[in-house]
Amino acid sequence: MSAQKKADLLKQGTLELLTLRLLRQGPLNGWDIMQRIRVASGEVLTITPGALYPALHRLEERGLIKAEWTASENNRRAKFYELTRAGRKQLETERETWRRFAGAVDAILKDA
Amino acid sequence: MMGRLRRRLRALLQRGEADRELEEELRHHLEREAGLNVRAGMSEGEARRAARRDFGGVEQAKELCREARGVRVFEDLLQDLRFGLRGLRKSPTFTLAAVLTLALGIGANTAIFSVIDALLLRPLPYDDAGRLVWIWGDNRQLGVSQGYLSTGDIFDFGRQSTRLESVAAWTTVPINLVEETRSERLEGILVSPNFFGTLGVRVAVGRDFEPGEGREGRNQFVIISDGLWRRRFGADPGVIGRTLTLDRNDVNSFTVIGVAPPEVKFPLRTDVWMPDFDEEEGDERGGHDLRAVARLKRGATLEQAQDELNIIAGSLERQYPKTNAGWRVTLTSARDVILGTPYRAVWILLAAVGCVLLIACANVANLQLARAAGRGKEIALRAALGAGRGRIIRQLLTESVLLALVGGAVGLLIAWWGVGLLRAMSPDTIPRLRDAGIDGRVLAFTAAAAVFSGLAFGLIPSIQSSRPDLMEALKAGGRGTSVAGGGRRTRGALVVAEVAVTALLLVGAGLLLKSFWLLSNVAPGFKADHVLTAGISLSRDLGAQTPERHKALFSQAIERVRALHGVETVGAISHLPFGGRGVNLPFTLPGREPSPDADATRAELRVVNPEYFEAMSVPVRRGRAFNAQDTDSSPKVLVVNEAFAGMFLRDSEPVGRRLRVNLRPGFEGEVVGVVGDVRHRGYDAEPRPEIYVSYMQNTVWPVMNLVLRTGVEPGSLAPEVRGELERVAPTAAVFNVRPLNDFLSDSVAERRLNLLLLLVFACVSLATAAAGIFGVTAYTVTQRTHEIGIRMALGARPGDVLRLVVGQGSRLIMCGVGLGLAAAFVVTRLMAGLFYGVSASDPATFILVGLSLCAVAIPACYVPASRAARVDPLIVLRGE
Repeated sequence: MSAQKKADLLKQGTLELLTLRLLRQGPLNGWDIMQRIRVASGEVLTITPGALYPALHRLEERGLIKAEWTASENNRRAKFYELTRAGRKQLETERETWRRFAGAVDAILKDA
Repeated sequence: MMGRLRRRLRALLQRGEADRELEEELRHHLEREAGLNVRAGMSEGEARRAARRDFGGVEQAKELCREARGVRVFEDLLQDLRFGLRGLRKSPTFTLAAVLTLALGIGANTAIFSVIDALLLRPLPYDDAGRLVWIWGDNRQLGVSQGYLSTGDIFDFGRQSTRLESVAAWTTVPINLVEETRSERLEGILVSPNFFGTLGVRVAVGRDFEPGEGREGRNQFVIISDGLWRRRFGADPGVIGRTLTLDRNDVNSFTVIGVAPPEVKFPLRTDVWMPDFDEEEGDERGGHDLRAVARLKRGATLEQAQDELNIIAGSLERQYPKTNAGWRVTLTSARDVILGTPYRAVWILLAAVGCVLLIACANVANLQLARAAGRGKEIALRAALGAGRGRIIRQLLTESVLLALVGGAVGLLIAWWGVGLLRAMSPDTIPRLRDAGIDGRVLAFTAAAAVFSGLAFGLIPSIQSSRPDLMEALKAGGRGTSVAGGGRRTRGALVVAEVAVTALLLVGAGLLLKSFWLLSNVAPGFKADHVLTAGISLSRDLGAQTPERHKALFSQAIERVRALHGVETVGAISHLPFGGRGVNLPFTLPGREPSPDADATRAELRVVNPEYFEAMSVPVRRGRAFNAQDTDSSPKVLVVNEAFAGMFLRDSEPVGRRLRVNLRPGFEGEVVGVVGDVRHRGYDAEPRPEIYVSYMQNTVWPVMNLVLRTGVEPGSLAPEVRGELERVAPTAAVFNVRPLNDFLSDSVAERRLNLLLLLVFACVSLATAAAGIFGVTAYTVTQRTHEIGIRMALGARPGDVLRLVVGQGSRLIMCGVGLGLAAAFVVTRLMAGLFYGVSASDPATFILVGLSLCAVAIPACYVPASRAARVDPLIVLRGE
């Protein structure tokens, strides 16, 4: 699978869903989110900063996440994002939608 | 929602800080990435470079983030506005021309809209006015349409109808307000007690009439108008219970029980509402002399009520065959009646003024195109630097709307001035026009008109110039020729459109002008020049109780004014031509089988003095006029007009026939003369059969209008005449002391206003279109200087160049004229009701408009063409 195709797997909506899911465990930095997606997906899903940061700003604009500047490990200021209540709710609905969608696709693939 | 707006605003206002934060966030990311790379074994520099490479376009990411925050829309707008203002400041001539053109267009539209708003859009002062309907009496056998009704029928409609909530009767009467020393003539209206309830009007002070108060003996109450209340009682709320001495048929005192709200001026101007007509008393069906207004039941439609009244009218006809034969009714919505003729005219004016705005837009669009051609390089540069096409269109449109808003602001001043002018010119028949003014709604309209025009004239040029051929434009250096080529066809189309719309307006104005001219030249049947009128309304009380006394007073008044210097002849008539009043009475021809229908033989009755016909220059066609020997003691005589003789006395010589007029007491006499027809009710009203009787023969009318033929300017005698009359009859009300010509001129005031407005619009658009053609030709010539220079170097003579340029312009103009006339052929049909004596497709008007438009437009392209013809080929070629 070429890199281009891998990137295509990660459509905008999916990226937002994954971001919301990762933030449920606690505040994360943009770079952290990118690394975790890469690692957790076993290097299958890679995202570029050019896609991630606009997505974060979009989520913040929609009020699903909020940002805070805190000191990071090497004592530099870093921007950490965390879920808002609206974000938590959105995550639940999106996750449910995703499950039903994936389940449906799965069911067809198994049968065929 | 609010939170998002606040975030956006903050992002906009603290843009610097937001950008710094974004920068820091992304730098932090790069550092972490580089740190990871170092841990993987790269050198510091190598790690940083790799991080950057993996990141991709940092600037692009920043831009995407900004966009995600929605800051862009605001930022772009501000930037566009800044650019627009700078651009407009850079080309002041263009800006001035565009703003003035737009101001004229938007200003005229605003003025007309404020009139529409006052006349049509503001609600009528009646509760739920949509349910009000007018009931008209029709009788096809008698040729009556939209006529009057009888008391008995009106009450029957009210009683029997299930679709009408209530039906009220009314009729106007002149009334004298009698005071100690003098009288004032008032506009009165007799109404059934349910009148205000039917209209849905609540009196402002006091109470409404109660059922049964129309009965004889119980009707000594009045409701007065707001105007009279203020004028006579200083708006005293204690007016309720006060008495007024009013003279209608007899002098009586009436108790004021209420004051009507100021906005109620039913039908046009009323001072006093008096209750009359009672169901138990009135079963009178012969006399059709009342109007009726009714209120539909909730949910009932006009058609349902019409069907039902048809049935009721049919059964009344069977029940009362003598009086009701052939009588039917027509219902129309009160809105149509009250708004009347101005209704249609005003929409036509709005369409016309909309055309003016369209022409203004076309012109500014042309100017924009020409300017865009000069700016081709600037736009190409912006496109090359990465501005998207949508972004460029948006910027150019912002500039256009900005321009239009400035034009709108100036236009508002023009409108403010124009509305004042319109109010001052408003004819008496359209009282609501006086309420026109500039308010919030009008302002909103102006703003909308401005934005619309900005988009209208901005769209085509901005789309045109947003797709420049980059290479061409940048290469071509100073001469931005690339856009010009593409714009030529568009400019041509705009010229054609401008000329076409102008032709349309000119045809409309031309037809109105011709109608007006034809109408003013209709001979009214009398000569109004040098005639002064003066109305005297005698009170029957106060020393003039008997007809003899009445007659003596009139004779005395006539004698006194005749003695005034400058007065040649003094006539007197009960109902002045063009005065708006008349009386219609049944008559019989003794010795002839009486007509089965009493109403079939009715005629207008006029009471005159012997000199009336001479004073008005009404010709005596047969027999003689009245003379001083026709008195109470001599045999009774009558004079009829030609229409009467033609309709009723066709079978034999009219002079010598006997006639009985159903006056009380009956008046029977011999016809001694036939006089010329008089258009009593206006220029466009066909003469009706008329019977004249002499006031000397015991047929005194309480109101007489003196008509003084003078040797001097009639208006100059007015104060003297008034003074003289007030001395003769101190308790009489003297009114309408003014030149007779004023009445004639008032009768066409509405038409004159329509004509004047349409003429102004047509002229403005003609001037605008001419300026537009001049501008476009001048621009084209400039663009083609080089080509013309080459042609001339190759041997073309100035005449050839002139022919070339003028020929091209003329083709466009002809095309526009043709299109415009074709459109006019269709459109003027909608205006047919406003014309008089001229067909909507009057060939003379069409030809004249076509020719005069060419006569103005072709010279407009001749001037720049002749400049082109003077081009010196040497200079042009050297310039290369």
